[in-house]
Amino acid sequence: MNPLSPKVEVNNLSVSYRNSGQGSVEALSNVSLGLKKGESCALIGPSGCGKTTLLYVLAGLLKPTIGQANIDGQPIRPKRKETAIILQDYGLMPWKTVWENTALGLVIRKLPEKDIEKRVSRILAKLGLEKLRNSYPHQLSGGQRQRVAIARSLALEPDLLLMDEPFSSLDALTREELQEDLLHLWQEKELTMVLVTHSIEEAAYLGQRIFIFSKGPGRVVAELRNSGVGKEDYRSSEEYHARTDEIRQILLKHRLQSI
Amino acid sequence: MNRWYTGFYYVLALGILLISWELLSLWVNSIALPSPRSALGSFFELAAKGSLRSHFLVSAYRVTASIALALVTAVPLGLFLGRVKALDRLAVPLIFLTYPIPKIVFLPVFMALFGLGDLSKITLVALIVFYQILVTTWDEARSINQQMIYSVTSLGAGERDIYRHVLFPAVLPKIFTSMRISLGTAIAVLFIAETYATNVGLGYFLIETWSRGAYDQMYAGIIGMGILGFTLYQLFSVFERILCPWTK
Repeated sequence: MNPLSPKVEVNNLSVSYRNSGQGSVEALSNVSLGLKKGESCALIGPSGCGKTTLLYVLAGLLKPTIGQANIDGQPIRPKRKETAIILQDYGLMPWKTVWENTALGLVIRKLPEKDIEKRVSRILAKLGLEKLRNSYPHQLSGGQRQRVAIARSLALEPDLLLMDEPFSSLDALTREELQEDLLHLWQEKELTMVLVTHSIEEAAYLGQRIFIFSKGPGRVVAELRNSGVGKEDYRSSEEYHARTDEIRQILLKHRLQSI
Repeated sequence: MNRWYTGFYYVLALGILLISWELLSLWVNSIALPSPRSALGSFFELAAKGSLRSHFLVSAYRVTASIALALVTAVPLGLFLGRVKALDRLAVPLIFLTYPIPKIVFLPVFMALFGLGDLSKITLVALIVFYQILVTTWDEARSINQQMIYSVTSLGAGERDIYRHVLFPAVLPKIFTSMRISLGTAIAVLFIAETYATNVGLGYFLIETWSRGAYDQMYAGIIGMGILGFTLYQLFSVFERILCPWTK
């Protein structure tokens, strides 16, 4: 593969949902974007703007109605082994322990038991979850649960990590802690990340590329570069604050935010 | 500490039941309602002689086989119908037209079709439990959040993995609940089925002792029925605790 060609490429993509009885509803309209390997990208916009739909297309869970989406120059197929997705809720199986949840993807892919054992213990240790290995999700805090969800996707050793508002139901302190951990993992593993969020701060802190979406049907109304992501103390830098202001201005200009 | 309290209240409840029974039998003063002492006496006497055992075991076998038969048919079908929503249009009317029919009316039909032996009794009881479990499994499987399915699909899950890792564990606790609920009906229907064309089983024993006017012995049979229900109920709870550890 040509190292300069994009990791993720979306061309003139539209997605419509069939609505029972009333024809179809357009969720995404003519969206294009390209991401390089190892880039992190945030999709931000009001609820119902189709950003989750785009994420599902990248994950191969939904098919585009019009247009094309490629990964590594290939049309997206479901079950691409190196793509992992983290959802806001419901991602963990309530009937599986932390260990079983983390191992689930590897069990489904029928890896040898020894490898599963090794990979799962390593990733649980990395995320500080060893002591909770026999706990069930309902015994965990929200932050611990999302940590398990991260552990489970990283156990697959992905090169593309997709996240749908992964931290939105967490309290502010836990959220920042997990964002920090995520950045470290991203740098260490050279992941390409796509993050759907409705938080301006989260988009500015985690997205090297920021795409701002309009209300449904979602279109990209602006795209920002945010190269400071991952720098030491980025959260207290002027660049970061300038970026959040910029995003806020754009949202206001397009009347996408009600303040 | 808590367990001691629970145990205490169980003993208390048992005491209240026995005293009420005693008082009721004194007040009614009929051989049809002997005192708990003479009923329990004859139960232990028959149990010691072993003459109740074969009746108890046959009834236990029949009701267990019925529940097993209902489980292996209703659970897969319920999961499948819950997963394949396209079948709803046909499955919904099919089930809701047949569900309210009191299945006991099929006893003569089943005896004509499957003979007078165990098979007709087992299939009749199984049919009743089948509906309970089918409707529960189906309902629960339908209401599984799509995000959960997406989440395992994104891990590479195929249809089989979805059944194994999502649908089946999701419905399992509900299956146990519906088994416990249908147990009472199952034993009641078994009783009726055992009053026909058989000479073994607690239902037969009850009717036979009743026709002889041997009320003490009849009560031994009633106690046997009670123990059968209680034991199965406890067994279901034990299995649930082992198989669904996340619900505790």
